[in-house]
Parts: sequence; C-alpha cells; structure tokens
Amino acid sequence: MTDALGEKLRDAAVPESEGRREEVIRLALGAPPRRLAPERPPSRRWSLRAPIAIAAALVLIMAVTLTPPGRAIADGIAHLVGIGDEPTLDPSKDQDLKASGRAVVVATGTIPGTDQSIEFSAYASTDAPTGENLQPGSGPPVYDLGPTRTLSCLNADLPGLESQKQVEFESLCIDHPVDRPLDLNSSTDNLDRLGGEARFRVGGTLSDEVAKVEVTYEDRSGQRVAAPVIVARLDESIAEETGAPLTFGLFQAYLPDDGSPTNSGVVNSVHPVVISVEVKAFDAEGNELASESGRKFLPPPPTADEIRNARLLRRECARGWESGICDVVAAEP
Amino acid sequence: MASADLIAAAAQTAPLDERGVRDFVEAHWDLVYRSAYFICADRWVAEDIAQEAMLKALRALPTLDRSRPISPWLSTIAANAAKDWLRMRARRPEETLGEQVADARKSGEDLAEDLGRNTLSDELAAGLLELKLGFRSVIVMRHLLDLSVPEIADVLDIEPTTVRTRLHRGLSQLRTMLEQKEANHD
Repeated sequence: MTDALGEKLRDAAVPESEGRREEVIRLALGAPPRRLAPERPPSRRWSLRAPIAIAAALVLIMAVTLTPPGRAIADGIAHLVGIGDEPTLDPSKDQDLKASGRAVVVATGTIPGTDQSIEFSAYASTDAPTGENLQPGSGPPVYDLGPTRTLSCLNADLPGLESQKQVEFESLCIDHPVDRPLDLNSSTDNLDRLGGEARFRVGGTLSDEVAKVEVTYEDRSGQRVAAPVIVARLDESIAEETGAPLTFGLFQAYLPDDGSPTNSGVVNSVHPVVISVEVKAFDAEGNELASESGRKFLPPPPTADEIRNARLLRRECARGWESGICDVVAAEP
Repeated sequence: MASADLIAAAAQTAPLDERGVRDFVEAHWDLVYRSAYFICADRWVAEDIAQEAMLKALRALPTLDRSRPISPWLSTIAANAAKDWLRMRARRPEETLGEQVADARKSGEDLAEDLGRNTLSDELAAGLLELKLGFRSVIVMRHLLDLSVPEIADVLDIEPTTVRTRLHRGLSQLRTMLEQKEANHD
C-alpha cells in the first residue's frame, strides 16, 4: 500500500507521456517501432549536419561476419564504411561530459536487419569527479581519480531515433590505458524495439594491437554460429585530431533471440544466447591474443529464497499446474 | 477496465488482444513512468525506462507466477529497468546532473503553473528532484513503487542498512528543504 508520501508523489505534476504510452501499446501488439519526432530542447536535438566522408583520414577496423542462423541479420552492418568529420549529435551534449576538443565520427552503419543507422564518434572530454561513489556495490563504481582529467571517449548514437537513451550503446570514456587486449564488459537486451532480428548486443573494449574480433554464440540447436561484429577505433590519428590522450577500440556484436526461455526480469537474468557467447581477439597477423566468454554475465548464485521459490514452483508444476512459468522452471539448472 | 490480475490470468491462457494490452499499459503506465521520471529527472529517459519495463512485463505476463500479486512484481521490473540506467549513470559524476535536474525542476514548476496549481505534491516533487540521485532513487522505490527495504537492497545490490541510511538522510534533506521554502514564503 502506497503511503502518504507516495500518494503525494502520485499526484504531483510530471511531463505528459501519452505519446510514448501509445507507442508502447503499438509495440506490444507487434507493430514496428515508429521514429518519434524530436522533442528534446534545442540543446539536445540532433543537428542535421550530414557526415562528410573522409575515410582516408580516419582508420576504422571492422569485422563483419554474415552467417547467423536462419535469415541473415547482418544485412546492414556490411555498409559500415562511411566516416564523417563531425557527429550528427554532439556526444558531449548527451553524455554530460564536456568535449574538450572536436568530436569526429569514426564509423557509421546500420543496425543489423533494420534501417536504423548507427554512428560511432570519438572525442576528448574533461571531467571533474566528485570523489563520491554514487552506487557503492552496484555496477561500475564512480572512480575517484583526483582533479579534472582528460578522458578519451568512444560513443555510439542512433541518429534520427528520438528515444535513444535506452538503446544508447557504448558511451565509454577512459582515463587510463586499456591494458588487456579484450574486455567483454557490456550486454544489452533491448534491441528488439528497433524492429530487427537482433535482440541482444554484447560489447567491450580492445587494446591497440587487436586487429580483428570474432564473436560466436550457440543457437538453440547447439550449433556455434558467428555474430555480426563492429569494431570502431580511437587510434593515434583520431587521438591527435580530437585531443584524446589515449587510444583504444570498442566492439559490438549483435545476437538474435533464439526463443530460449528466460525469466521475467524480476531477478536479473541473462539470456542463454548471451551466456553462450565466445569472443576472440586477433592481431594483424591473425594470432589469437585473448578470448572471453559470455559466462561472465552469469548472475550470482541464487539466494536461499530464490531456491525455495523455485522448488515450490517445480513442485506445483510437477503436480500438473499449467503455467508458462513451468517451462522456465524446467529450463533452469 | 479489467483488473491487472485478470489481465495476467488472461495472458496465461492466450496472447493478449489489443484491449488486454491497452488495459494493462493504461493501468500501470503512470506509476512506472512517474517513478522513472523522479529517479532520472529526465522525461525522455523516463519514457525509455517505462517503455522497457512495460514491454518486459508484457512479455513475461504469460509466465507470471499467479500466486504472486502483480503490483510488486511490476514495481520490481520497473526498479530493475531504472537500475540499468543508474548503473550507466554511475560512471558519471553527480555534479553533471545539475543542469538536467534544474531543467526537470523548472519543467515541473512550469507544468504546475500551467495547470494553475502549486500543491504540496508539486513542492514535494520539486524538492525530491533536488536530492542526490542515490537518495532520490531509494525514496522513489520505497514510497512510490512501494518496495520494501530488502527488495530495494536486492535491486540496487546494496546493503539494507545503506538503503535505510539513504532513506533517512534523503527524507531529512527533503524535509529541511521544504521547511526552508516554507520559511522563505513567510
């Protein structure tokens, strides 16, 4: 039961959101996502400046594989060849990090299976940390790194998609060199709203010596298949152009939903496809430098309460309870 | 409009039709969106969080354990969706939120003015938006989403004592803020 404070907050004026509510109903009924007209205040709006191709001046390393199961989901990603000089959206405006130099586009392309463009940009940023960890024990900590520092940033945006925040991809700023060749460190599961077949994305950072990344996953039949991969890089020439002090790379791979059962989202869950991911990083000579597994995304062991609840559900299912949750319970180890 | 529990029961029998989906979304959208808005102080992010939570909930309805009440279940999904944003946010300093929060507060004040109102609810909301993110999020989860302290601790992956501390400090600051505003008015 909501208390008095909750009642007051329920009654407080908040900006209207009927448009999005209707969009959610549309999406839930299987309609394709609609590009909503930009409504942000001017300082956050997309600028319409088109990227100008200066491919020769910038280096983009891109690895694309085109053999996912069933229908190819990598159609668009092969077009990742356009490189511009200035992002459609100033990344520092949206990332709350002040650009200390100019931002440049290092890669553009299309989300697999959709016509949604994606734009990678690099920039340097200055940042004055508060020294406070806003979420102690939860997720990445806020690093107390002393006085104002200059960060090296790679950012991915979805030009034209107004509601981009939840599918805003990697927006990674570093203040110390990437020393590991490969660090698989992000997983997102909301790509379905873009309307393509790619449902999940995994990604991470790369050190400079990595020239190629391969990502495979296990489909429902147990076959290991390759996923489309993008590698965008903040290299020395871009570092010079942007004033970014450090160089590094960023990769993203796109995975379909293979229909494996997953839970309701009440408990943090990881889809079996994501867990099955294997990533390998190679140097320019084709030597394997490092590998990582999606198993690192596995949640911590279940609590006593969760185990007790699962046992209760299993017992009910064994007694003939007809519920979809029985499929989930049966699939869990 | 059918009750949420009835909709959940229907969803376990057959895919929801348009009416069922509409009823479910309309019944729960405001709370989920409102909670996300007070946590992140950004209308567009709040819409994204609410959308993510609602779609996740609709996908999960067919597998919902019907022995559990639906509201806490949905609140937890909403809180988890907000947590994803908090995690992303955690990489960035609180100070950078200043402009965004100021925008949100101004937007709330403008909205209240447009509606010809300046109620205690609006004062509370404006005060809440001025609190630090860590305080705001636990207050919203506790008082608006009606999650228990252990549930919030679970969602945020922090100790229950930390949740209690943040609740206490956040509410104290909120009270002080409102008292000062009251005094200034006088």
